[in-house]
Amino acid sequence: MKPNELIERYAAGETVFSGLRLPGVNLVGADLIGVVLKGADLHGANLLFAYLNRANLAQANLVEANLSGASLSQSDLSGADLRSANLHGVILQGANLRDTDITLAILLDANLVGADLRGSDLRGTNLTGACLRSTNMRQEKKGYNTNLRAANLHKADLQGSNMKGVDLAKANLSGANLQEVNLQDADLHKADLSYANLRGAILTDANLVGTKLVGANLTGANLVRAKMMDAEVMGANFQNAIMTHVMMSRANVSQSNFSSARINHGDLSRANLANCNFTDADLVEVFFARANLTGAKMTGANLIRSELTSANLTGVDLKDATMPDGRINS
Amino acid sequence: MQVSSETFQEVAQYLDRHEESVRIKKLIFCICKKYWENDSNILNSVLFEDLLQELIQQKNSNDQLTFSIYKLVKTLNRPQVYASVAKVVIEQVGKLYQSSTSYKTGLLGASVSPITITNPTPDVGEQVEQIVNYLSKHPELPRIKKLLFAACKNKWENSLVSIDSYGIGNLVQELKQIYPDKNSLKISLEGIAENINKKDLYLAIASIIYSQMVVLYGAQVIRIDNALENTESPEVEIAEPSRVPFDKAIVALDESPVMTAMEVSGVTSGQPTVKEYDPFEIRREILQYTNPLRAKILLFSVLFHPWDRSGQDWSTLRSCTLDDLLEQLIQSGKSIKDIETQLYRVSKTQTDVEANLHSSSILVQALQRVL
Repeated sequence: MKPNELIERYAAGETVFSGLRLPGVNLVGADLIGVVLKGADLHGANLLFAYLNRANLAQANLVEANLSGASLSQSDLSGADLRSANLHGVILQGANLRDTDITLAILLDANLVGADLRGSDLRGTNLTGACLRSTNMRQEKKGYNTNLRAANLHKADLQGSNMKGVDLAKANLSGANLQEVNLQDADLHKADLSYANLRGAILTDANLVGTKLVGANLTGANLVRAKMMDAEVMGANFQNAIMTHVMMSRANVSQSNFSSARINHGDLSRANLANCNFTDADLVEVFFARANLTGAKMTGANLIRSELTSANLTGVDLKDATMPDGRINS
Repeated sequence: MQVSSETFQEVAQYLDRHEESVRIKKLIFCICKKYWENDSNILNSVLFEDLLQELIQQKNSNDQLTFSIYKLVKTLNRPQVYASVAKVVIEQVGKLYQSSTSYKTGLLGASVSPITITNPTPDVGEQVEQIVNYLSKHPELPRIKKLLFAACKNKWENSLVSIDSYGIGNLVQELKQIYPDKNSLKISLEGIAENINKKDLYLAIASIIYSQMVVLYGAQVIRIDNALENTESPEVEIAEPSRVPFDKAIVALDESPVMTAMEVSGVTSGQPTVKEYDPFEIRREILQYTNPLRAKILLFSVLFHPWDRSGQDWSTLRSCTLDDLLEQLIQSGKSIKDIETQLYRVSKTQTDVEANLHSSSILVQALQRVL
């Protein structure tokens, strides 16, 4: 079938073209709203600014297709192959992208608000500046998760997304908006979260080993049992965060704010906590073995049964703090 | 160091005879005239000497020149080629900046911008340099710049790019000129801080600036290098980095990205005021109602040149985000009326006029909240 024929038949009212083979076709700006192209071969096609709202492109081959600026809101792209596709500024709002292969694609400034990305493979994609508010990437069973390994999400907007169990290892999330995001069990090891906004985010059991969190805002975040060994966390804000059983050994956390945070049973051994602010923090049974607390502010902190014997306490302000033996400093 | 007009001629001739002289001229031309010119007839009709004079007049320090050139190079189709061209320009024109202000005044006459009129004695120059060094290393540098700028220009500026184009050194010198005594400086800085959202934080920033600036007013000449050790002086205490900034830095990190509008009271400038905004919100608003790529093409056309659908334009567009383009437009100093007119004009030249007009109206609506 020639492209013109497709357009003509569509204009005449026909909508189902499943299995159609039109590789490399030029359909720039075509109006194909609601078209059914299930399992179609459109690899290398030029669909720049095409209108494909509510189109069914499930299992379609769109490898290296140009879908820049295309309108694909509420479309079905489940199981489609979009490897290395150009999706610059695409509209995928509310689209079904379950089990879609989008590896190495360009999704710069794309609109993915409310999209279903469960089980999709987004390894190495460029999602710089993309809007992914309220997307669903929730892991439903073990070994089946959304893969964003090494993806570039610099300044992406992920507010309110469900990213439970997502693989974000080595991803770039610097400057991203991750407010109220659910990152429970997520793999963020060696990811870059510098200056990201993680206010109120859920990071329970998350893997943050070797992660960069310089200047990040984690106010009120939930980091229960999070693994943060060797993390680079200078100047971050953990005010009011819930961090019980957090594992932070060897992490560099200097100049961070932990005021009113709950870090009970945390492991802060060998961590660099110089000049940190622990005002009114709950630090019951915290393991501070060989931690560097130089210049830290611990006024009003509760340190009952904490292990402080080998910590460096030079210049620590412990006014009104409850010491490991239960004595209150005056 | 005095630079004679001989040096000026030498630089002009060197650039003129350089094997990349066409590209050099294009680059300087674009910085001076604010548009890109490929027409060799037009380029040939302009003398290197004239362009150089205009360049020095517009960019009154080597830092500003370097910044502007590299900012421009980044947007060009062949950034790598132009980066080496830029190096030559900076290297050569840099020689002219080594000259004293008096040379520039002589060369440019009355047209020198007010910033460069300052003719500091060597001592003052050194002091300014020390202040700049100190402030540049301060962890709260972005806010310091914003407050300095607000005190000098009587308007609030959020774009550090715009502020950087003035240079901290110039702002410090200008501030010294505007406020003949340290008390009026203090009152002004604190007055601005009192009227903005993060009052406590900016009051601390005001003290940092003030404590550094006092040395310019003669009485308390404190060597900045020794300032950290000298804990007896209250002013120095305020300036000591580990005292104020730590607590305040935490306040800063605590910020929610949803910021409320902020304006410095008593704005009298004719330039449009930019309110503090949350880039995520403005972007969300645009994405919600229009095509992000269309919005980018329109912004690109207003900022650079009409979109010609060439491969080069596409690659340039891919090198910047919607955020970058929005910020650049917001900081361009254009009024919302101008932007609106330009957007609608561009919309009509592109295919799918209706969709473009719709995108333009969404962009104007979003920008109206900021400008």
